[in-house]
Amino acid sequence: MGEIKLIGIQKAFGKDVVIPDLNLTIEDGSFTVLVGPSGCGKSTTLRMVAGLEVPTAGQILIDNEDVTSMPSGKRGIAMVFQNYAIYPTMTVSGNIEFGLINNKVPKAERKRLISEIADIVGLTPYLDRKPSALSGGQRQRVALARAMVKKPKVFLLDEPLSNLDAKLRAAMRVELKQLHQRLGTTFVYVTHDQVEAMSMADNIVLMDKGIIQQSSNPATIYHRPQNIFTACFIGTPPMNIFENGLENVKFGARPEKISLEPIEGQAFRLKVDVSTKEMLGAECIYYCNSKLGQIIIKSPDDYPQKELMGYIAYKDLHFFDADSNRIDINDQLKADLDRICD
Amino acid sequence: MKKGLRFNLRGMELIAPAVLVMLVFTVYPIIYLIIGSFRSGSLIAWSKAGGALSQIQWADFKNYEYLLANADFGKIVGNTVLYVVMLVAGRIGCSLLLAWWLNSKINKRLSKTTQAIAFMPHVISLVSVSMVFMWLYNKDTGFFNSILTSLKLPACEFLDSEGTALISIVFVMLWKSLGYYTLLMLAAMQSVPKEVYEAAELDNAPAWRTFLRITIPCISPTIFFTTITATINSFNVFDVINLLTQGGPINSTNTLVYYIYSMMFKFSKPGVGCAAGVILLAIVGTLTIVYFRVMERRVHYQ
Repeated sequence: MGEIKLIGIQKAFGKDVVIPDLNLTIEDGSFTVLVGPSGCGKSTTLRMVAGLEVPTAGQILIDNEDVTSMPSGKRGIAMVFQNYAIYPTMTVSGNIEFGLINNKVPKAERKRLISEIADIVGLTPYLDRKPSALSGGQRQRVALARAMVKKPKVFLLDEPLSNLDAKLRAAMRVELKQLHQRLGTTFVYVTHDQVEAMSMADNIVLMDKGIIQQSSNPATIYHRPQNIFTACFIGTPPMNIFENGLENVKFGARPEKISLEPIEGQAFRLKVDVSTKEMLGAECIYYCNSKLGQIIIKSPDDYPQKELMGYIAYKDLHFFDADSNRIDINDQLKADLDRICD
Repeated sequence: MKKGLRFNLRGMELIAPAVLVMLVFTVYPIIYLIIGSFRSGSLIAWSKAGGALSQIQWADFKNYEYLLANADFGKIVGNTVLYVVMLVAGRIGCSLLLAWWLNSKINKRLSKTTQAIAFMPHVISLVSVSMVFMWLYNKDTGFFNSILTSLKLPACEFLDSEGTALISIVFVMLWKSLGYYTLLMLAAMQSVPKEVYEAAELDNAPAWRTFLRITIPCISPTIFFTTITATINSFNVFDVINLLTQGGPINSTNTLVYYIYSMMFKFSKPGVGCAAGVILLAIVGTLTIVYFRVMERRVHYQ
């Protein structure tokens, strides 16, 4: 088991309120990713679950047990830090063993666990090495092994891949996902990288300024963003948002959902002037001007023309009210769109 | 290898000033000290002889024989070693504990204030400190004894008793230098990443084990360095003894450097003083080598 409930959590550093009021349930066995721009409170939230920060108000429950004022070591959790935080003076096996010694695991059992874990993460040849003699990826594995060996109810991971190079990061993403499937434990993962969030999460919790903007699975967050912040945060390049054109309603379309060839069914048409084009091989990114403002289009095809027509299917259009919240398309909006269509 | 051995004129020019300073202020005094330890005669005879070799009276090994035959000298070496051991242990132990406390999750202002208070004695002149402690330690009118008597406890003689004089002096020097060593230890502790401590917290480590298994090994280079400097520094104790006890009572606070000074300027036996100086040099030199050899293996350098 490893269900986490945050109830009415508030966190302030002095007068600075980082998290005003947070309510969140993280399901047992899920891979939940807290994502958001820096300073959005995602790390603070994780650290409160870990017990490294104390909430100003509110309750934290793990498996319905109130752990708000319980010391970190007693919560049945393990954490992987961004800079790994492995004990620099201990060997690899010393690092893995430390938590077991503290939890009074007998020596024979400790030995068995260390060799078992080292085998899983591929550290067996390095058990007697000091961390200074390991590569970044190996240190990462030590941090993982140290967390896993305690058999925690919950894994907390604070940007664990950001110190690795791009190639290793992609490989570790897959490994972590496999590790999660294998262990079946709750994973709570903090990142500012939307690609990591989309590729690994069962559930994405997108935060901004200490407030949850949307909490849903990756497909929903991509296809049905709840508000403009979510719409623009997920996806590269971000969603085009047209602020004028419709009265009191903003609407948007993802760059990859704008076709430069006529499409079947009802579509919104827009004339665009290409100002810059980036050829990326598999795709081209067009930076254009239109009567609705600047617009970015991603297309697999390379068009030499300067003047193009963009086609957007109505189902790929997203509408937001004056408060930036999602609204569904209706006949009135369709009529308005027809009016401004090129 | 060939290149390393080749005589490099430009290189020699560049190190010449530093070498000159070392020759004049370090090498020459050491040679003079060693030669002096084989001379006899008084200070006046020495100054009359000047640098003229023909006028120098040689004592051969008589100065060393004098020291070895002299029971007082054995006691003085013993005093010095006892003083060094107590003071170095006190400095390292107390500064570690104080720095640990200051580095824990205590109030920032309390930490800063404590650091300032602890460091203050370091910048006060030793003469003033000695004056203050003379009064504090006074067996009739002193502050400590007035407290002891008001608590109906027996008074202590502090500097006036053979049994307590040396430890009283150790306490003065410990009090004076504690802030300095604490600052060194604290700086080292603060350079340990905070996440390492947090990881230990998550690993359910009791505070004492975090201290022994993480803090101490991580700052071992600093502990190593301070132990060496504190040891050498304590061996050279002179001024506080000259100010507070002049080696008394009954030689109980007489240490090597104070003995050298007494031989030179009180008893006008410069040869004996030089011989004692050579012995001090040998002790401190050996200790430094031993320290580097033994501790280098156990110290963790990041």
